[in-house]
Amino acid sequence: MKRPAGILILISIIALILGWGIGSFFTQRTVAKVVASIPASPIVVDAQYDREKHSITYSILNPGGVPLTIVDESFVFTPGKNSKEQGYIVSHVPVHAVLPPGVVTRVELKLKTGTEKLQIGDAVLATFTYVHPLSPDLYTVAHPFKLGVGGKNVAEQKKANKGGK
Amino acid sequence: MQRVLWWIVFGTFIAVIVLGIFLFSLIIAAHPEAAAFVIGFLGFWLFANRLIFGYGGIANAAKAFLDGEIPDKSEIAQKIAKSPEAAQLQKLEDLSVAALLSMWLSSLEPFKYAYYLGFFLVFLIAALFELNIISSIVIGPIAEAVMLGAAIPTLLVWGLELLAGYYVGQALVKAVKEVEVGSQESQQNQ
Repeated sequence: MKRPAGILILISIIALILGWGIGSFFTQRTVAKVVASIPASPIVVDAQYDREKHSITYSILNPGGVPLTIVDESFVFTPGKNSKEQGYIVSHVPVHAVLPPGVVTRVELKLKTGTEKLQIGDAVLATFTYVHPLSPDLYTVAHPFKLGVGGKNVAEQKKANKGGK
Repeated sequence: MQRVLWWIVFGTFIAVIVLGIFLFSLIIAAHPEAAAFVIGFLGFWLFANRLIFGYGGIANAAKAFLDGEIPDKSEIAQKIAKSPEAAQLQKLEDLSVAALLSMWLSSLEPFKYAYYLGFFLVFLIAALFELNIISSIVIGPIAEAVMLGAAIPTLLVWGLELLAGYYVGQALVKAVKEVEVGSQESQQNQ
Protein backbone atom coordinates (compact mmCIF):
# COMPACT_ATOMS: atom_id res chain seq x y z
CA MET A 1 0.00 0.00 0.00
CA LYS A 2 2.43 2.66 -1.12
CA ARG A 3 0.02 4.92 -2.94
CA PRO A 4 -2.42 5.89 -0.18
CA ALA A 5 0.56 7.13 1.85
CA GLY A 6 1.70 9.09 -1.18
CA ILE A 7 -1.76 10.62 -1.60
CA LEU A 8 -1.89 11.55 2.08
CA ILE A 9 1.56 13.17 1.96
CA LEU A 10 0.56 15.13 -1.16
CA ILE A 11 -2.64 16.35 0.51
CA SER A 12 -0.77 17.27 3.69
CA ILE A 13 1.75 19.34 1.72
CA ILE A 14 -1.02 21.16 -0.15
CA ALA A 15 -2.92 21.67 3.12
CA LEU A 16 0.21 23.23 4.67
CA ILE A 17 0.60 25.58 1.70
CA LEU A 18 -3.11 26.46 1.83
CA GLY A 19 -2.93 27.14 5.57
CA TRP A 20 0.14 29.28 5.02
CA GLY A 21 -1.73 31.20 2.32
CA ILE A 22 -4.78 31.76 4.56
CA GLY A 23 -2.62 32.84 7.49
CA SER A 24 -0.53 35.25 5.44
CA PHE A 25 -3.67 36.66 3.79
CA PHE A 26 -5.22 37.61 7.14
CA THR A 27 -1.88 38.91 8.49
CA GLN A 28 -1.43 41.03 5.39
CA ARG A 29 -4.95 42.45 5.67
CA THR A 30 -4.39 43.34 9.34
CA VAL A 31 -1.07 45.03 8.56
CA ALA A 32 -2.62 46.88 5.62
CA LYS A 33 -5.38 48.22 7.88
CA VAL A 34 -2.85 49.38 10.49
CA VAL A 35 -0.70 51.09 7.84
CA ALA A 36 -3.76 52.72 6.30
CA SER A 37 -4.64 54.29 9.65
CA ILE A 38 -1.30 56.13 9.88
CA PRO A 39 -1.51 59.66 8.41
CA ALA A 40 1.18 60.35 5.82
CA SER A 41 2.87 63.56 4.75
CA PRO A 42 1.68 64.95 1.41
CA ILE A 43 4.17 65.08 -1.47
CA VAL A 44 4.08 67.78 -4.14
CA VAL A 45 4.79 65.81 -7.30
CA ASP A 46 4.27 68.60 -9.84
CA ALA A 47 3.70 72.34 -10.07
CA GLN A 48 2.44 74.13 -13.21
CA TYR A 49 2.14 77.87 -13.74
CA ASP A 50 -1.04 78.87 -15.57
CA ARG A 51 -0.25 82.16 -17.34
CA GLU A 52 -3.84 83.06 -18.19
CA LYS A 53 -5.27 82.48 -14.72
CA HIS A 54 -2.10 83.81 -13.06
CA SER A 55 -2.04 80.86 -10.70
CA ILE A 56 0.12 77.84 -9.89
CA THR A 57 -1.51 74.40 -9.84
CA TYR A 58 0.17 71.93 -7.50
CA SER A 59 -0.34 68.19 -7.89
CA ILE A 60 -0.18 66.80 -4.36
CA LEU A 61 0.01 63.09 -3.60
CA ASN A 62 -1.32 61.76 -0.31
CA PRO A 63 0.62 58.47 0.05
CA GLY A 64 -1.15 57.35 3.25
CA GLY A 65 -4.55 55.89 4.01
CA VAL A 66 -6.02 58.83 5.94
CA PRO A 67 -7.54 61.81 4.14
CA LEU A 68 -5.70 65.08 4.76
CA THR A 69 -7.24 68.54 4.55
CA ILE A 70 -5.32 71.64 3.47
CA VAL A 71 -6.71 74.50 5.53
CA ASP A 72 -4.31 77.32 4.78
CA GLU A 73 -1.93 78.49 2.03
CA SER A 74 0.91 81.01 2.26
CA PHE A 75 3.52 81.96 -0.27
CA VAL A 76 6.57 84.11 -0.74
CA PHE A 77 7.23 85.65 -4.16
CA THR A 78 10.85 86.35 -4.99
CA PRO A 79 11.47 88.13 -8.31
CA GLY A 80 14.12 86.87 -10.70
CA LYS A 81 16.42 88.93 -12.93
CA ASN A 82 13.82 89.41 -15.69
CA SER A 83 11.01 90.60 -13.46
CA LYS A 84 10.14 94.18 -12.66
CA GLU A 85 7.82 93.12 -9.86
CA GLN A 86 8.73 93.65 -6.22
CA GLY A 87 8.98 90.70 -3.90
CA TYR A 88 5.93 90.14 -1.71
CA ILE A 89 4.47 87.76 0.84
CA VAL A 90 0.88 86.55 0.97
CA SER A 91 0.09 84.62 4.10
CA HIS A 92 -2.78 82.59 5.50
CA VAL A 93 -5.16 82.30 2.59
CA PRO A 94 -7.91 80.03 3.98
CA VAL A 95 -8.70 77.09 1.70
CA HIS A 96 -10.46 73.79 2.16
CA ALA A 97 -8.92 71.14 -0.10
CA VAL A 98 -9.34 67.49 0.89
CA LEU A 99 -6.58 65.13 -0.25
CA PRO A 100 -8.11 61.64 -0.51
CA PRO A 101 -5.80 58.72 0.39
CA GLY A 102 -3.58 57.26 -2.28
CA VAL A 103 -4.32 59.67 -5.12
CA VAL A 104 -2.90 62.85 -6.60
CA THR A 105 -5.06 65.92 -6.02
CA ARG A 106 -4.66 69.24 -7.83
CA VAL A 107 -4.63 72.33 -5.64
CA GLU A 108 -4.64 75.79 -7.20
CA LEU A 109 -2.71 78.66 -5.66
CA LYS A 110 -3.83 82.08 -6.94
CA LEU A 111 -1.03 84.63 -7.13
CA LYS A 112 -1.66 88.15 -5.96
CA THR A 113 -4.07 89.94 -8.29
CA GLY A 114 -2.75 92.99 -10.10
CA THR A 115 0.82 91.72 -10.13
CA GLU A 116 2.73 91.01 -13.31
CA LYS A 117 2.84 87.58 -14.97
CA LEU A 118 5.66 85.38 -13.78
CA GLN A 119 8.90 85.69 -15.73
CA ILE A 120 11.57 83.03 -16.06
CA GLY A 121 13.63 82.88 -12.93
CA ASP A 122 10.86 84.06 -10.62
CA ALA A 123 10.48 81.93 -7.51
CA VAL A 124 7.44 81.16 -5.41
CA LEU A 125 7.84 79.36 -2.11
CA ALA A 126 4.43 77.97 -1.18
CA THR A 127 3.59 76.67 2.28
CA PHE A 128 0.54 74.50 2.75
CA THR A 129 -0.88 73.94 6.22
CA TYR A 130 -2.79 70.69 6.57
CA VAL A 131 -4.61 68.77 9.26
CA HIS A 132 -5.58 65.13 9.66
CA PRO A 133 -8.49 63.67 11.65
CA LEU A 134 -6.39 61.97 14.33
CA SER A 135 -5.07 65.08 16.08
CA PRO A 136 -5.86 68.81 16.26
CA ASP A 137 -2.26 69.73 15.33
CA LEU A 138 -1.34 71.75 12.24
CA TYR A 139 1.37 70.48 9.88
CA THR A 140 3.04 72.28 7.02
CA VAL A 141 4.71 71.34 3.79
CA ALA A 142 6.73 73.92 1.87
CA HIS A 143 7.42 73.68 -1.85
CA PRO A 144 9.88 75.94 -3.69
CA PHE A 145 8.92 76.65 -7.31
CA LYS A 146 11.09 78.45 -9.81
CA LEU A 147 9.66 79.18 -13.25
CA GLY A 148 11.66 77.67 -16.10
CA VAL A 149 13.76 75.46 -13.84
CA GLY A 150 13.39 71.72 -13.64
CA GLY A 151 12.00 71.40 -17.19
CA LYS A 152 8.54 70.54 -15.95
CA ASN A 153 6.64 73.15 -17.93
CA VAL A 154 8.40 73.22 -21.27
CA ALA A 155 5.60 75.05 -23.06
CA GLU A 156 5.56 77.82 -20.48
CA GLN A 157 9.32 78.03 -20.66
CA LYS A 158 9.26 78.63 -24.43
CA LYS A 159 6.67 81.38 -24.05
CA ALA A 160 8.73 82.93 -21.32
CA ASN A 161 11.84 82.84 -23.54
CA LYS A 162 10.05 84.64 -26.38
CA GLY A 163 8.73 87.24 -24.00
CA GLY A 164 12.19 87.80 -22.63
CA LYS A 165 13.71 88.47 -26.05
CA MET B 1 -51.30 27.66 29.28
CA GLN B 2 -49.78 25.77 26.40
CA ARG B 3 -50.47 28.66 24.08
CA VAL B 4 -48.74 31.14 26.42
CA LEU B 5 -45.75 28.86 26.66
CA TRP B 6 -45.69 28.53 22.89
CA TRP B 7 -45.69 32.30 22.46
CA ILE B 8 -42.87 32.71 25.02
CA VAL B 9 -40.76 30.11 23.20
CA PHE B 10 -41.58 31.67 19.86
CA GLY B 11 -40.67 35.17 21.12
CA THR B 12 -37.37 33.93 22.53
CA PHE B 13 -36.62 32.18 19.26
CA ILE B 14 -37.24 35.36 17.24
CA ALA B 15 -35.20 37.42 19.72
CA VAL B 16 -32.28 35.01 19.43
CA ILE B 17 -32.44 35.16 15.62
CA VAL B 18 -32.57 38.97 15.61
CA LEU B 19 -29.68 39.15 18.08
CA GLY B 20 -27.73 36.69 15.94
CA ILE B 21 -28.25 38.73 12.79
CA PHE B 22 -27.28 41.88 14.69
CA LEU B 23 -24.05 40.33 16.02
CA PHE B 24 -23.26 38.82 12.65
CA SER B 25 -23.68 42.17 10.89
CA LEU B 26 -21.45 43.78 13.53
CA ILE B 27 -18.76 41.20 12.75
CA ILE B 28 -19.21 41.76 9.01
CA ALA B 29 -18.87 45.52 9.52
CA ALA B 30 -15.70 45.13 11.60
CA HIS B 31 -14.01 42.20 9.80
CA PRO B 32 -15.51 41.79 6.33
CA GLU B 33 -12.72 39.46 5.19
CA ALA B 34 -13.19 37.08 8.11
CA ALA B 35 -16.95 36.99 7.51
CA ALA B 36 -16.39 36.34 3.79
CA PHE B 37 -13.97 33.54 4.69
CA VAL B 38 -16.54 31.88 6.98
CA ILE B 39 -19.31 32.27 4.39
CA GLY B 40 -17.09 30.79 1.67
CA PHE B 41 -16.13 27.89 3.92
CA LEU B 42 -19.68 27.07 5.11
CA GLY B 43 -21.30 27.64 1.72
CA PHE B 44 -18.88 25.39 -0.12
CA TRP B 45 -19.01 22.80 2.66
CA LEU B 46 -22.79 22.67 2.12
CA PHE B 47 -22.20 21.62 -1.49
CA ALA B 48 -19.16 19.47 -0.67
CA ASN B 49 -20.90 17.56 2.12
CA ARG B 50 -22.37 14.91 -0.17
CA LEU B 51 -19.04 14.46 -1.95
CA ILE B 52 -16.96 14.35 1.25
CA PHE B 53 -19.16 11.74 2.94
CA GLY B 54 -19.74 9.89 -0.33
CA TYR B 55 -16.07 9.54 -1.18
CA GLY B 56 -15.25 8.83 2.48
CA GLY B 57 -17.85 6.04 2.53
CA ILE B 58 -16.59 4.58 -0.74
CA ALA B 59 -12.98 4.61 0.50
CA ASN B 60 -14.00 2.95 3.78
CA ALA B 61 -16.15 0.28 2.14
CA ALA B 62 -13.51 -0.49 -0.52
CA LYS B 63 -10.79 -0.73 2.14
CA ALA B 64 -12.98 -3.11 4.16
CA PHE B 65 -13.58 -5.20 1.03
CA LEU B 66 -9.82 -5.33 0.34
CA ASP B 67 -9.22 -6.47 3.92
CA GLY B 68 -11.54 -9.42 3.34
CA GLU B 69 -14.73 -8.15 4.95
CA ILE B 70 -17.94 -8.28 2.92
CA PRO B 71 -19.82 -4.95 3.17
CA ASP B 72 -23.63 -4.91 3.24
CA LYS B 73 -24.69 -4.81 -0.41
CA SER B 74 -28.16 -3.42 0.32
CA GLU B 75 -26.65 -0.36 2.02
CA ILE B 76 -24.42 0.40 -0.97
CA ALA B 77 -27.35 -0.20 -3.34
CA GLN B 78 -29.38 2.39 -1.44
CA LYS B 79 -26.66 4.99 -2.04
CA ILE B 80 -26.84 4.41 -5.81
CA ALA B 81 -30.59 4.00 -6.33
CA LYS B 82 -33.18 6.66 -5.55
CA SER B 83 -35.07 4.41 -3.15
CA PRO B 84 -34.87 0.85 -1.72
CA GLU B 85 -37.68 -0.18 -4.10
CA ALA B 86 -35.75 1.13 -7.10
CA ALA B 87 -32.67 -0.74 -5.89
CA GLN B 88 -34.74 -3.94 -5.69
CA LEU B 89 -36.19 -3.45 -9.17
CA GLN B 90 -32.79 -2.69 -10.68
CA LYS B 91 -31.51 -5.94 -9.10
CA LEU B 92 -28.51 -4.05 -7.78
CA GLU B 93 -27.95 -6.55 -4.99
CA ASP B 94 -27.20 -9.26 -7.55
CA LEU B 95 -24.07 -7.37 -8.58
CA SER B 96 -20.69 -7.91 -6.94
CA VAL B 97 -19.46 -5.55 -4.22
CA ALA B 98 -16.68 -4.12 -6.41
CA ALA B 99 -19.15 -3.37 -9.24
CA LEU B 100 -21.50 -1.64 -6.77
CA LEU B 101 -18.63 0.43 -5.38
CA SER B 102 -17.57 1.58 -8.83
CA MET B 103 -21.21 2.47 -9.60
CA TRP B 104 -21.36 4.46 -6.38
CA LEU B 105 -18.15 6.25 -7.37
CA SER B 106 -19.51 7.17 -10.79
CA SER B 107 -22.89 8.24 -9.33
CA LEU B 108 -21.03 11.09 -7.57
CA GLU B 109 -19.47 12.30 -10.83
CA PRO B 110 -22.08 15.01 -11.70
CA PHE B 111 -21.92 16.46 -8.18
CA LYS B 112 -18.15 16.56 -8.36
CA TYR B 113 -18.28 18.30 -11.73
CA ALA B 114 -20.74 20.94 -10.51
CA TYR B 115 -18.71 21.47 -7.34
CA TYR B 116 -15.44 21.98 -9.19
CA LEU B 117 -17.19 24.35 -11.60
CA GLY B 118 -18.40 26.45 -8.65
CA PHE B 119 -14.95 26.51 -7.11
CA PHE B 120 -13.35 27.37 -10.44
CA LEU B 121 -15.65 30.39 -10.88
CA VAL B 122 -14.85 31.67 -7.38
CA PHE B 123 -11.15 31.04 -7.99
CA LEU B 124 -11.33 32.87 -11.33
CA ILE B 125 -12.93 35.95 -9.76
CA ALA B 126 -10.33 35.97 -6.96
CA ALA B 127 -7.52 35.57 -9.52
CA LEU B 128 -8.87 38.46 -11.61
CA PHE B 129 -8.79 40.69 -8.53
CA GLU B 130 -5.41 39.36 -7.41
CA LEU B 131 -3.79 40.01 -10.81
CA ASN B 132 -5.38 43.50 -10.91
CA ILE B 133 -7.28 42.73 -14.11
CA ILE B 134 -10.30 44.05 -12.25
CA SER B 135 -9.39 46.20 -9.29
CA SER B 136 -11.44 47.17 -6.30
CA ILE B 137 -10.05 47.97 -2.87
CA VAL B 138 -13.31 46.85 -1.24
CA ILE B 139 -14.34 43.72 -3.18
CA GLY B 140 -10.85 42.36 -4.01
CA PRO B 141 -9.89 41.08 -0.53
CA ILE B 142 -13.43 39.77 0.03
CA ALA B 143 -13.31 37.72 -3.19
CA GLU B 144 -9.93 36.34 -2.13
CA ALA B 145 -11.23 35.48 1.36
CA VAL B 146 -14.25 33.63 -0.11
CA MET B 147 -11.88 31.68 -2.37
CA LEU B 148 -9.59 30.76 0.54
CA GLY B 149 -12.58 29.60 2.61
CA ALA B 150 -13.85 27.52 -0.30
CA ALA B 151 -10.40 26.00 -0.86
CA ILE B 152 -10.57 24.01 2.41
CA PRO B 153 -13.58 21.77 1.51
CA THR B 154 -12.28 21.58 -2.06
CA LEU B 155 -8.99 20.14 -0.83
CA LEU B 156 -10.90 17.58 1.27
CA VAL B 157 -13.07 16.60 -1.71
CA TRP B 158 -10.06 16.26 -3.96
CA GLY B 159 -8.06 14.18 -1.47
CA LEU B 160 -10.96 11.86 -0.65
CA GLU B 161 -11.71 11.49 -4.37
CA LEU B 162 -8.12 10.36 -5.01
CA LEU B 163 -8.27 7.91 -2.09
CA ALA B 164 -11.69 6.51 -3.10
CA GLY B 165 -10.54 6.13 -6.72
CA TYR B 166 -7.43 4.29 -5.59
CA TYR B 167 -9.26 1.89 -3.26
CA VAL B 168 -12.03 1.16 -5.78
CA GLY B 169 -9.36 0.44 -8.41
CA GLN B 170 -7.69 -2.04 -6.03
CA ALA B 171 -11.05 -3.60 -5.17
CA LEU B 172 -11.85 -4.04 -8.89
CA VAL B 173 -8.46 -5.70 -9.49
CA LYS B 174 -9.12 -8.07 -6.57
CA ALA B 175 -12.66 -8.86 -7.77
CA VAL B 176 -11.50 -9.55 -11.35
CA LYS B 177 -8.81 -11.90 -10.03
CA GLU B 178 -11.43 -13.76 -7.95
CA VAL B 179 -13.70 -14.10 -11.00
CA GLU B 180 -10.81 -15.46 -13.10
CA VAL B 181 -9.84 -17.96 -10.40
CA GLY B 182 -13.49 -19.03 -10.10
CA SER B 183 -13.90 -19.58 -13.86
CA GLN B 184 -10.61 -21.56 -14.05
CA GLU B 185 -11.81 -23.79 -11.20
CA SER B 186 -15.14 -24.38 -12.91
CA GLN B 187 -13.33 -25.26 -16.16
CA GLN B 188 -11.14 -27.75 -14.27
CA ASN B 189 -14.22 -29.23 -12.65
CA GLN B 190 -15.76 -29.80 -16.07
